[in-house]
Amino acid sequence: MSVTFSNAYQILELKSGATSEEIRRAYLNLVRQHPPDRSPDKFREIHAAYEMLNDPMNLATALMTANRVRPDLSAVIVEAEKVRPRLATLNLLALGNLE
Amino acid sequence: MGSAARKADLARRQDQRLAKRDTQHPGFSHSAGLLELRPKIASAESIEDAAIFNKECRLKLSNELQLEATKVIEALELTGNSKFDEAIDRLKEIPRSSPFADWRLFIRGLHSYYSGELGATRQNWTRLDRARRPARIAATLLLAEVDESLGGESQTTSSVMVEHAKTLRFRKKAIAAAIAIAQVRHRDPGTTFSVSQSAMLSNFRDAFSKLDPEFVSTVSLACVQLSLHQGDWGLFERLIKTVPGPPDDPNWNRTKFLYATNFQGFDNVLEKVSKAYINQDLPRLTQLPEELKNALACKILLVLAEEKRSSQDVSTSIFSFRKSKNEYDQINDLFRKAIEKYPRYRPAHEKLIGSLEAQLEENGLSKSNEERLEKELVVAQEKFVQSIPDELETALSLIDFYLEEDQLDKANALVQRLSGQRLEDPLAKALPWKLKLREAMRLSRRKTDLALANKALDDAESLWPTWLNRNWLPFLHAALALRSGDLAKFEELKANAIRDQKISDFVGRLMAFAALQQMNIPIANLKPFRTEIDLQIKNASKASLADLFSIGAFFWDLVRTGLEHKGYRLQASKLGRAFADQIKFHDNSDLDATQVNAFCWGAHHRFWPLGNDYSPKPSFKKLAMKEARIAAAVLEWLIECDSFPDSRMVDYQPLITLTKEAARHEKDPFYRYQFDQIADEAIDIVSEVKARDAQRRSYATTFIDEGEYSEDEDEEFDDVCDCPKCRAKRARMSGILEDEDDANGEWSEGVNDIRDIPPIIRKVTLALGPMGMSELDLLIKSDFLLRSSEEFMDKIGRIFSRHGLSMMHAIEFVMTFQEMAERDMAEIGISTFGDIEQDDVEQDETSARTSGASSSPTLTAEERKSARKQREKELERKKRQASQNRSKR
Repeated sequence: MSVTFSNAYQILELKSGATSEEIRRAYLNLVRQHPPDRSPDKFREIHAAYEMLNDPMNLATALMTANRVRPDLSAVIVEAEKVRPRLATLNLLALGNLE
Repeated sequence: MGSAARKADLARRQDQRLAKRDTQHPGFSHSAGLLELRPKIASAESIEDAAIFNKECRLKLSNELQLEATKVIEALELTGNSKFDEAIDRLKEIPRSSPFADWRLFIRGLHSYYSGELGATRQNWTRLDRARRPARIAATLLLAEVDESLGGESQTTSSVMVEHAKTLRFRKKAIAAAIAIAQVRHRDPGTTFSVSQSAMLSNFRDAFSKLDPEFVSTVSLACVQLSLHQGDWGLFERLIKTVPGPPDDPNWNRTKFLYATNFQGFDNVLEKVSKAYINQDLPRLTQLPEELKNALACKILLVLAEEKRSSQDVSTSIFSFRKSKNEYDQINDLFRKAIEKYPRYRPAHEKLIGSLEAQLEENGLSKSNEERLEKELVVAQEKFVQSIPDELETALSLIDFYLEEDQLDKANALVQRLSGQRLEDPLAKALPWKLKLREAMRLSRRKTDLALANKALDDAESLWPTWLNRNWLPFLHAALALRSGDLAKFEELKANAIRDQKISDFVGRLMAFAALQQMNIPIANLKPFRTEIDLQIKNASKASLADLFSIGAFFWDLVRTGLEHKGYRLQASKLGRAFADQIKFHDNSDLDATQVNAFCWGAHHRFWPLGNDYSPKPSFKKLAMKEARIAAAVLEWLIECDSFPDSRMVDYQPLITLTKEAARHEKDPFYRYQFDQIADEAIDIVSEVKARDAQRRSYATTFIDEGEYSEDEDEEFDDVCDCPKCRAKRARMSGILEDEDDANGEWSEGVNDIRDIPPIIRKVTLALGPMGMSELDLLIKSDFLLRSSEEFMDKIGRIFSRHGLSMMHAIEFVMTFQEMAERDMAEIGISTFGDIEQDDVEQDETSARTSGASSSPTLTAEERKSARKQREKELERKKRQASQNRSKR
């Protein structure tokens, strides 16, 4: 799999827009799971994705590149649907009220 | 109105608003109740559970348990903000035996639940103690997942839980509303997001922003993205007023900037939003790393500079000649600011250097401006080398500059720095040799230092690169002998060298002269040698091809090592022309090393023009397929040739492959490295062309509804495509428009704004299309002084013939264009030639105009043509003369 900016997040199992700290953590976690001696290809891929996201200029270039592909709103909705809505802590705790 | 009445009125209005909202999104008011829910302590609630949301209860716990309760609260907050990893970190500190262990289990399940993994969620939550709050919350959340009626709930489910579960159904309603937005069909296929969708989005946001902010944000951002795929700035602006920007562009300034680059005449918007993003937004984005902020600012400044350059290119196209100093300064300042923001970004340096070099190449530059630009160029190069230590090409160029300017310390420092790196470039490896040689040349200035100069030359001899001919060395020794006043020794050494190298007297004299110039022989002593050489160069066309090959090979050594002497340019151009003339008739089937080197020199300077179809002559092509050095030379020649369209590089794939392959086997390190570099550059060009084609194809399928244009297939053509079919159709199209023009006396609607442009210019513009025009523009800008020379007309004629226009069109175009250009220049007071020559030319032009009377309506077409030709010849002669005078001066 060739690493591009858009799939680098996927490879590191992150949501796009993850912070540099999150990127570093995800990278270290994955490297622990796929050490170079056991799965060299996967390691290379993870490393390339990390390099891609870790270089500020790569990030800036991606952010400064207009998206040429027209987004599919229906697909965005389907994708967003998979994730449950987050509840505010107090509202969540109130779901355990007995009356 | 009293306060009670006002309150009643406000309440009524609020009810009306809520009622309206409920009709748009039924069931919303029920879900809205969720936001009002607050946890209440139940009668049998454990103190640990109550401690999670009640401070008083928390304070009743032991310190240890209080700490654990705090960890649970933090973990819940972090989970609500999707920071799962950090939440897990907090939970690690809660032991399994703790009364908060249930909360730990619940939060783990909550992560799976939020990620939509219900299997994993249930696994975690089935182990919860049903008597406690975590189990009740979990049960309510899972209950909301079952069917809509909630009729199948188990007996353990209380009515309160069912009510709560119903409030959790808002997502389904939000999805339905979002799908309604997505399903709007547009009448115009070019519309990607309509005004009615914008209104629906606004309602959707009002209804669900508080309940489901993440989903609303995702849908809203996708809607803004959709709106960017159409040319409706107004809708986009209205839309972003209601939708908050993404975290890294909260005020949409960066997006506005990128979108504005698609519109003509948006220069002010570009400036305004770029400033707002760089100066206001970026400093406030504390969550972004500083490096990323600088990188973003750098990119924006570069795009702004490029936009400025291209918008000025449009205004300074073929109707005027160059950008003003102020325009260039603005562009260069933006490049400099970009470099300041992110010095490690190579393209920013390259663009600044490229811009300064382009300025320096422009004709009619005053001496003071030239000096200023040269200084700026050196500063830019120094900054480049300083910021990116492995930038070799610029470092080598700087070293050459330092050596020429006798700034040996700076050159030495740079050489030392480069020697610390592992360099592949043989030229870089040879720097110590070059430094010694230059030192010998510098020391030869003073007679008292001549012993040192001889020593330095000996050192250079010991360091002489293996890949470089040593045949100049004896002439350098001879030159030093003459510098010390020993004419006899000079003559002896020179004669020996000529004899040993089996070269002609002419070649020997030329090599000696180059050495004498470098070894600082006083002008008076140099004069007799110069006179001899000048005489022979004047008759260069009569020189034998063998001599020209030897000279070419010698000059190639000077060129590739950057050791051209002061008079090189003048001599090389004359000899190069003679070489190019003679090589046409030479059987190039079998060349020796000297001849190949001479060929490389010719290709490097592009002494022979490309053929009509932008190809080298077939004999060169054949030779290139046999000899990798020629293949590399041909490729370099094509890469360097401004008028060679990049798209044609694809045709040279066999040469690229041959050169790349030869790089692996070539024994000469110089050529081995050169092959690799040239082949890679050609490969990059081919890749770019292919990527561009692919992008154009994808655009065509995205934006063009083929059915719409298929009615008249015969007249279908691509504005940009350079294929013969499209070129012919553009030419035919230009004919059609011209007929209409003649018949109606004016252009049809929509082209009135260009009615003032002469018909021939319009015709040419239509026939050539954007690509052809940019090629023409480049040619015109490339050498102003050649505008009416035969070579120039020949080039123009070739471009025109490829686009279905005749030579007559070319002549008419050039004449009209010249008239316009001269008028423009007179208006703005720009002199392209030197003062004296310009006066001369203008005087003659005036007389040519008067005598030719080309615009007289009483003349027949034939007479007008003849007058034009006569005038053109006269102009050409005068301008060539002016050019020569200028060069000499």
